[in-house]
Amino acid sequence: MVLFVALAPLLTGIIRKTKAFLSLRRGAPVWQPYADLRKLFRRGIVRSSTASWVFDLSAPVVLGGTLVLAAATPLYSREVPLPVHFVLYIYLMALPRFFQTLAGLDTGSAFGGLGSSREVSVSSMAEPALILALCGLAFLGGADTVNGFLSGMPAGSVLARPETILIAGTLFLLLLAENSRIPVDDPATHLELTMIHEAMVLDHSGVDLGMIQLASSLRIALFSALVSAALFPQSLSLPAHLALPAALARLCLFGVLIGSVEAGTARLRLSRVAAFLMVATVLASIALAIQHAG
Amino acid sequence: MTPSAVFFIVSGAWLLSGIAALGIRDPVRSRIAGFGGGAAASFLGLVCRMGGSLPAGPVRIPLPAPVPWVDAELYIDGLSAFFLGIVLLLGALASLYAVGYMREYDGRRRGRAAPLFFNLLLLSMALVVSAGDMLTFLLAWEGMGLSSYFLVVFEHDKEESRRAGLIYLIATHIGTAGIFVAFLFLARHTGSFSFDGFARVSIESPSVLAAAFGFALVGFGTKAGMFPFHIWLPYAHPEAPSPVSAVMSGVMIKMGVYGIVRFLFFLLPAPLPSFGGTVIALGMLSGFFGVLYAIAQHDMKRLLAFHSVENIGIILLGVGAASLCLSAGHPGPARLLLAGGLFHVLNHALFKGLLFMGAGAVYQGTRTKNIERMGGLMRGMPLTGVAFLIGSLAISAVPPMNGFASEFAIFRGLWDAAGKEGVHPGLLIATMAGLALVGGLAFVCFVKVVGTVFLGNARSPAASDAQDPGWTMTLPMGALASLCLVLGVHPALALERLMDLFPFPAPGPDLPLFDGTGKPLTVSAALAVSIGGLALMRFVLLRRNGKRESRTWACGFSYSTPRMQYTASSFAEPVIHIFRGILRPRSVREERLSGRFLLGMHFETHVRDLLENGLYLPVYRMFLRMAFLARRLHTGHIHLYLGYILGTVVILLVLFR
Repeated sequence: MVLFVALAPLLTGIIRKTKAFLSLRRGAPVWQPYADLRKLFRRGIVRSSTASWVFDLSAPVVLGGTLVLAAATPLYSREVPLPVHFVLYIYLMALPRFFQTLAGLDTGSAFGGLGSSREVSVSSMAEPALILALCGLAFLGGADTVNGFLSGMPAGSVLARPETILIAGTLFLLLLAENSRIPVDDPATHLELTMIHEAMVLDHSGVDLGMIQLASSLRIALFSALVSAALFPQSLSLPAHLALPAALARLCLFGVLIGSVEAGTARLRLSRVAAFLMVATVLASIALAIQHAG
Repeated sequence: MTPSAVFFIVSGAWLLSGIAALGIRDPVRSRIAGFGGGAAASFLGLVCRMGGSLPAGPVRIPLPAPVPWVDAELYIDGLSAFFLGIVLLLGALASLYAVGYMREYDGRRRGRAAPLFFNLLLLSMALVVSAGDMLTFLLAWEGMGLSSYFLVVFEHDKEESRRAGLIYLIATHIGTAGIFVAFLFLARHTGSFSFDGFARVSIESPSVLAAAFGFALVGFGTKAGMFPFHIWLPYAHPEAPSPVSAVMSGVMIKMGVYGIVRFLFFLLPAPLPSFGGTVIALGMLSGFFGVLYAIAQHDMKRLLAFHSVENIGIILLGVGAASLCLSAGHPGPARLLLAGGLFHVLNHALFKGLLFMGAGAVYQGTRTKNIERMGGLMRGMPLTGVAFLIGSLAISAVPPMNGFASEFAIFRGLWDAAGKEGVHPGLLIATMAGLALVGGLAFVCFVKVVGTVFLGNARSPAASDAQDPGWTMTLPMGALASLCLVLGVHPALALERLMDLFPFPAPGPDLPLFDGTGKPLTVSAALAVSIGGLALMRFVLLRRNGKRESRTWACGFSYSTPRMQYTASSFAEPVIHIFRGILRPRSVREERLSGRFLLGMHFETHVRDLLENGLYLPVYRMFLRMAFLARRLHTGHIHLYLGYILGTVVILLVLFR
């Protein structure tokens, strides 16, 4: 869990660097997110006079809830501090989201409401695909805890198991959707017509913003760890001195992958996002059907 | 005290306090006597029920028979005792709440009649769940329908109330008719009127079995608000006074669930596998349509009523899947699924009771049910706000609240059954995905409600002046909110007892519900520690770094008004847009122009229930036409009426002799 917190900003840095490189810019150094966080945690906050205690509690709940998720996700070994059932894992994402979207509405700003509204719409449509994808992994891994099924994945080449690739594809689409990446959202824009997550957190500043940014980085790292472990299950059972570098390599690989997808894709119109998520749902269903047949 | 003594004392106290309230002239004393007495009676019953005055085995209490040739008795087994507990708990809290809430009607005479109907409703529900024979059951069922009807039309000087009452009355009688026919099937094929007798004989013919269950499903489903018989709920619940809505939605519609469970697992010894599948399908439809229509509502209580349809759907998913697993020979997952469904019955009673009470407090504070005119209530009504937030987290199935605990039990049951022989895994996995979608949409709806009602700026002067109500109203809300949290953090309290309720053959190795992994206590503790730690860290950092207040930034505009806030309708728009094919929102837009200048604009958007316009209204009109035709038989001549009677008797004699 501590390792996740330590590595998450690096992953964000790698994604940004890749995007910059592919669009022929130099970009900020990969450790820029660490510097941003350091700066934010040293600042005070400007708080809207409209906001209630829900707003004050939102940043701790967002980061705290995400930390609990991190404690349930395996990064470099099969063991995790807090093994949880995969349904509980999905629903644990709801508590941070509830408070984050409420905080968006709490300042009485139209931006916050707009961001919250889009965020809940996207995440509710993503829910069935998420359940189906994790059901598929749980069938494959023969266990129902997240670390359990990831360490129980059958060994051998992924290429021999098309359903794993399909599920990993689904999860990758969900990673993009749930973490406000292109083509669903654009983390770099502040134009209100297009943004989701950035609009929602517009009224957070200083320490609060730092916590929320850390939580966002953490979520991408968690999703990346999940998908990459499903693709390379062997990396979870390596001896200790190899496991850590392997995990790091997996995260870097995903950073580059996410960055390249973002650099090479255009943002979807908001009304098309539902169709994007339906694609994920259908992919996961196909994977489950293949599993059932095979 | 013996159970029968407790029973007679509690029901006597309900009746007497109701009648006393009628006779007391002073409205305040009348309220306290009627509702306070009712609360005390329910509380006494609850204490005796929980305190173990109920023996381990089933209890029989003989009743004076209403007609000479049958025996009437109460038969309280585990299932009845569970539902009885819910009736008493919600009854006690809602009565206490009513002591404060019903102040509204103090000037008017009808205020004195409310306690009697309310207590009669509680009494008849207690009788419904503990009836041991068909006659007692039907009498209690009818009493429940009528006493709640009078509470729905409580404000009968309003056109909408009378309309809601009429719809409710029709629905409840169609339901009763269905149940009546179902019981007649059973009585004819088993030769008995008592539930014992029904359970002893197993009906061989699948068609008779299917007919009996079909009628029962229509009857109980109508009361439960199951799709497609749900249309009365969104009319009746908003019109009734809030404590009544809390009891109707929290408890009364569960009587339908009780009936379905009683039929599926007790009265029909060998249900067909298709019964479970049917119940699952109807549950799925109820859940989906309930939550979808809820998202489109602006009226707070109507929105909550649609959520009752959704939650009944979730409960039925558990119950139906349990029946399916049982007929496929897997009692392990069946036990978990049924316990999960019933746990959701309890949880829904707790959080929906809480939410309706919160809506009532908000209504009394702001004098409106339209959420677009609220906002910022967290400031004036902090206690109501916190309780409502907890209820919203619970109904959105956010851990660590009780709503999640029961949905999780259903998820686990489905997942476990999906790996077993004889049940189709595709169906169960699809059910899981559907349940997840329903949960996600409920989440959207409650972020919308809490956000627009309690957060942000007040959208009307009334909303900025609203205050928390008195202790008689906040105490029940607080109690329910604490129960939501306790049962979420430690669900085993209820679940383990529910697992032991059922007489399933050969229990087999039971599923350990939380097999050492992700125990709710551990997860809740982890959440509490990490969130608490971070909140402390934030506090310390802010002491050091400083914090200042400022107005919300509005893109450089120097003013920002409450009207610039996001509204509930705009919040729900993306989801409504996605499902526009089903919801078919209709909007009206009028512009007032002066030459080329726009002076003002009026915009409204509505979503109407598809079934209401597409199915029920045409049927209703057809019945009306038939009634007009039948009116020609009413000539007003007595000899003709006697002739009709003679004719009917002759036809009956010809047919059945």
